[in-house]
Amino acid sequence: MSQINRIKGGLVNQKKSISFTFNGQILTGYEGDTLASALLANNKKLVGRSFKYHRPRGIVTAGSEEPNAIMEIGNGPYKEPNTRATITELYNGLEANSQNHRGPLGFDLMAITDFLSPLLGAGFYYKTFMWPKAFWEKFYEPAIRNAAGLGTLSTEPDPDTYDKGFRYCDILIIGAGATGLSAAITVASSGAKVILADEDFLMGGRLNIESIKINGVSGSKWAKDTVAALSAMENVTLMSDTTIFGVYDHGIYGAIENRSSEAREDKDKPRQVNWRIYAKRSILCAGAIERSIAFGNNDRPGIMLASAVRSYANRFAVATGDKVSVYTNNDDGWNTARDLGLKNVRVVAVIDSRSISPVLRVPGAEIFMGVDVVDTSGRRAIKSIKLSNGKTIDTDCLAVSGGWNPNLHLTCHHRGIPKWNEEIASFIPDESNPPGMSVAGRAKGTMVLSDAIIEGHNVGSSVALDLSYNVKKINPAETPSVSYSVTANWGVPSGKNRAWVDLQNDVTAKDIKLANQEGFKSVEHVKRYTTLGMATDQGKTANVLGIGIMADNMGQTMEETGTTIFRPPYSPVAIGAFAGRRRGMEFYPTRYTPSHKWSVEQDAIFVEVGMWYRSQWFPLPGETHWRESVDREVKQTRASVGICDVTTLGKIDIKGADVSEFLNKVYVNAFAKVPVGKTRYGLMLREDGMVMDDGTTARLSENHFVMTTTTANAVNVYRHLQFCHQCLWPDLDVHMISVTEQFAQYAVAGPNSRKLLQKVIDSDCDISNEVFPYMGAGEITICGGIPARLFRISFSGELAYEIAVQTRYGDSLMRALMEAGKEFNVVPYGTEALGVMRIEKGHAAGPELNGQTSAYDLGMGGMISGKKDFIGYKLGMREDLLRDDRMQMVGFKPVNAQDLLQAGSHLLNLRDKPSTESDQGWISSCIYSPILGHYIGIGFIKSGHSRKGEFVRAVDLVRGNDIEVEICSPHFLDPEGERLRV
Amino acid sequence: MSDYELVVESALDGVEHEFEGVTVSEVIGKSLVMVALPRSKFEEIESSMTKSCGLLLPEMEQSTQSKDSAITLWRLQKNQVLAYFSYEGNDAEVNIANRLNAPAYYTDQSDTWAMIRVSGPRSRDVLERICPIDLSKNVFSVGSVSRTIMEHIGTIIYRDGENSYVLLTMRSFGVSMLHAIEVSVKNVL
Repeated sequence: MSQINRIKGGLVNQKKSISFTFNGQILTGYEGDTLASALLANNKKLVGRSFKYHRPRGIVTAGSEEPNAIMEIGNGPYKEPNTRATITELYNGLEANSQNHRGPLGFDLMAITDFLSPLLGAGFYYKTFMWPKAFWEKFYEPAIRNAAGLGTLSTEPDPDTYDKGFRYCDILIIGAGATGLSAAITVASSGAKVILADEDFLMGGRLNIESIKINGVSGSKWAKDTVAALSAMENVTLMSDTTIFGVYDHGIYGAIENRSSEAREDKDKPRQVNWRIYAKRSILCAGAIERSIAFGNNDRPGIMLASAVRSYANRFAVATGDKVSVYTNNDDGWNTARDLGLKNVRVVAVIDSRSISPVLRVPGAEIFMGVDVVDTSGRRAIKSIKLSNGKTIDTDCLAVSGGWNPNLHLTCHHRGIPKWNEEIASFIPDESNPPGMSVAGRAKGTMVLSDAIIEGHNVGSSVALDLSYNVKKINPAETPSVSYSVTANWGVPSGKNRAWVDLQNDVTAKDIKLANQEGFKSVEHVKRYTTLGMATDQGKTANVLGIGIMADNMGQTMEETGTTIFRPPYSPVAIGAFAGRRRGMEFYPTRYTPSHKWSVEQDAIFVEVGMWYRSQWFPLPGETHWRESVDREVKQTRASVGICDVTTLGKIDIKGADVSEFLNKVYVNAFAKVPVGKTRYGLMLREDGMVMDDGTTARLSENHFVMTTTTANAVNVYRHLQFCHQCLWPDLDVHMISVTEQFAQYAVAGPNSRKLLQKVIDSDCDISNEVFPYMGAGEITICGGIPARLFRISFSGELAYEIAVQTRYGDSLMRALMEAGKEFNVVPYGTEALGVMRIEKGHAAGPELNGQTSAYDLGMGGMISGKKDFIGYKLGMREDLLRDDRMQMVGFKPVNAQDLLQAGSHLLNLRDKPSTESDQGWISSCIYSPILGHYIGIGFIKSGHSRKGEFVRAVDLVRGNDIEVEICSPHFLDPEGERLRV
Repeated sequence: MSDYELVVESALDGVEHEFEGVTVSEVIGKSLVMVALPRSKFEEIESSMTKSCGLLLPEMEQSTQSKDSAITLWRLQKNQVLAYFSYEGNDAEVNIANRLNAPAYYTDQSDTWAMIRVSGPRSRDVLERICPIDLSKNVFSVGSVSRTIMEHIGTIIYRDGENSYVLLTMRSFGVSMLHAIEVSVKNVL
């Protein structure tokens, strides 16, 4: 029979049925149910197995603190393990499976561990699996991990989508219970921008589970009306089903918004949104969490927290038993008995450990004062309880209340340490809350509802005033004052029976005692030794109980015992939510060059260079190996002409009356007298004398220069120049801005480059060798008046130019150049050919400019001007940097032309064995030269400049290569630079 | 005379997508020029611009408009403003220099940026998924401009209307930024 435990009323929509499955069985619930309430409605008391002993376990709570009812939801790649049934909103088609059992849930083969429990106490693993040592990783740990643990992963990529977002507010109110709503309505009236967040999909907090009245209407009705009023206000953002999971620096709060229902309708919609909320102030109104009492066999299915039993009855219209008994040490537990009576659910007994008069009259129930529950029976569901007075009571649900712990977790996220409050027998927030955070209501230890509502109102008022908002005169809501009295009761002697403290990690009172006996005196040590509070629920129901037991064991007060504190996240957050949408190609953005579209049409192979997508080579039909394409591109460029998109190189426009002086200070070589229309190669050092970057700078007019940088260092150089200008020489009239993206720039290289360019450059612009010689620069027009810039510079070692046009013409210019170059058999070349030609020419690049090389190391010491000061000059003159036995850049070629030379190889003297001591240097860049017909490399070797002609070995132990190489000049091709100047 | 003709291509091919409550479109027909302000000439420049176009130097992260609303100045750095104006020619630098007639240094930035307008009543809902700054109506008021990072991309955001924002990202990032906005639209609407 379906939903045999469903009763009338509640806040669920009993007219709208929802179908779901549990362990394959089709069940129904109602709209507004959680998975837990629907399971209880269907009389599913056994819902899982415990972590260590595979004990049968049932639902304990009705909130995010649930230790037992954690499920695998969904199937295939959508499966999510360890999902708390108590906060999972029921939906049509929900597929839930219990976890942590081998075989059926009712007959778990691993339950044998429960019978071995006398052997498996706290510290068992540490003490037992000591020998042989090698077995730990290979055998013991895998076996233990296999036996223990929570749910299983699908091992497939998570197909759900996630997103992130940013929200700002004046005041963030965390928790939409009575206190939070009271604070929110007060603050909102001031006009302050408010975000009200609550982890429940239905705002109202405890008001939805209580039978009390506020302002003359039911608590849930008042909550609903207040939420409706708030939602109509433009300055209020309501975020239900949203957990504030962390408090970070500068008023930043992490929030996870669950949007599963939307994602189920449309798989493309994010399942969760990870919000970063910036709040000037926050008010924590997170309420309190009920705790249990440790007594023998207190973990049987059907033993629940008293407030949860009340919640299922009042909010979800579910009777959790036919013969319910209540065991409490405080007044609030009695409310469960009262409310069940009002719902016609039979209460058979109320047991109060305090020796006081009964708090309420509970018709039909036996009342026991000053009595404890000491044992229970029933394997898969509770059947009876045994009291300390010897009496046994048949019951199918035991509602336990050990008191309430303020939900103060977030107050600890900046290292706040809670303090003990004897009056409510709980820890409460101390004064060191995160900056800007106030606490109100039960989260602060104000346990009486009417007081909490007033406190919410007052704190809201005060915080709003603090932000200079004027709060309207409104009266806080009214509700009868119901007192709360508690006498701490951490547990009762349970003999051989185990009294469970941490239900999720299977920690018993005996484990804590054992830890104390074995010398663990600090609460932090006991936590780690026993694993108390270290499960996915982070001990929300267990910690204070455990500390109480520890205090009793050690004969000290709770204050003396102290407490552990909490850190983010408040409750588990899916890793996918942290990644957000940044997966796959969206991990980071992509930058496309102006010739990208054209390159795609040519079937170019692309390579990621930072975020840039650059053409690596352009294969032709029939070419089966990248070397074929690259060799062809190099040969064709050197024989005639090739074109390469070099837009990615940094370009900085620098204007002002003092630019030449400025450049003179940042480059090692002289720039003061660079003539207009000329380009100069420049080397830039860091303050410590090491090479930072190299590039060219052209003077386009008296007060206008344009600097190029390497692709990798474009941002660093710009930042460095800004630093130099803003901090070192602010009086210089220098103004710079990046124009990297303003211009599409193409290298046109090869003996026919001039002829090709002459076809696109307007005829009034003379680029003959005489008028526009090597290192010339100028502003020209092309294709009938389009402005462009031309630089006669060469990275390839050939007669070459770089031509730049506004990026809007970039694609078009590439096509025009290729069309114009047809008669010269023009070839596009990619970064591979670019690299081959620069190594043939002996230009240092990224692998050589590694931050540890000086200008002298690179063979460019001659460039350093001795007539001026510049950045890096002083420290670059340190004795050690001028030593002749430093690693110096030279060229290398194999003695046997057939040998493969590889970058990363280390250099050794011919007879040395490979070792750190005998290491002479390394090969930094290496390629096959199609022009020379063998491999060549650039690298660093001790005293390299004076060792040319010497033979050494290039050894690569990783790839098993050991060849003899000759040290030579790095300028393999045209060392005199004749090709450049034709 | 060259045999070749170069064709103008905008960063995003003039894309325009309409969704329920949001329109995402490339801003075309606008130029952007950096106007660098020498330290000693702030007053002279302002007075020249006021005389020529009725323009004042804006406060930081604010904008000012010329009398005829044709030129908007954005201030993101103390020593420079960005002139944002309707002009499609390839000599924007000269054009704005002549119009402002102020002794500043001008550098064309029109091709540096991909400009995307996100407008409509749901524009803020879409942008709050990628924009880390506070876009509340009264905080980021009409005319506000700010430099920030969205989805790892350096971005300038300018509010040019009640429900309208212009996002500028380096042109090479344009496709990624457009995609980021479209993902937000898909996730939100």
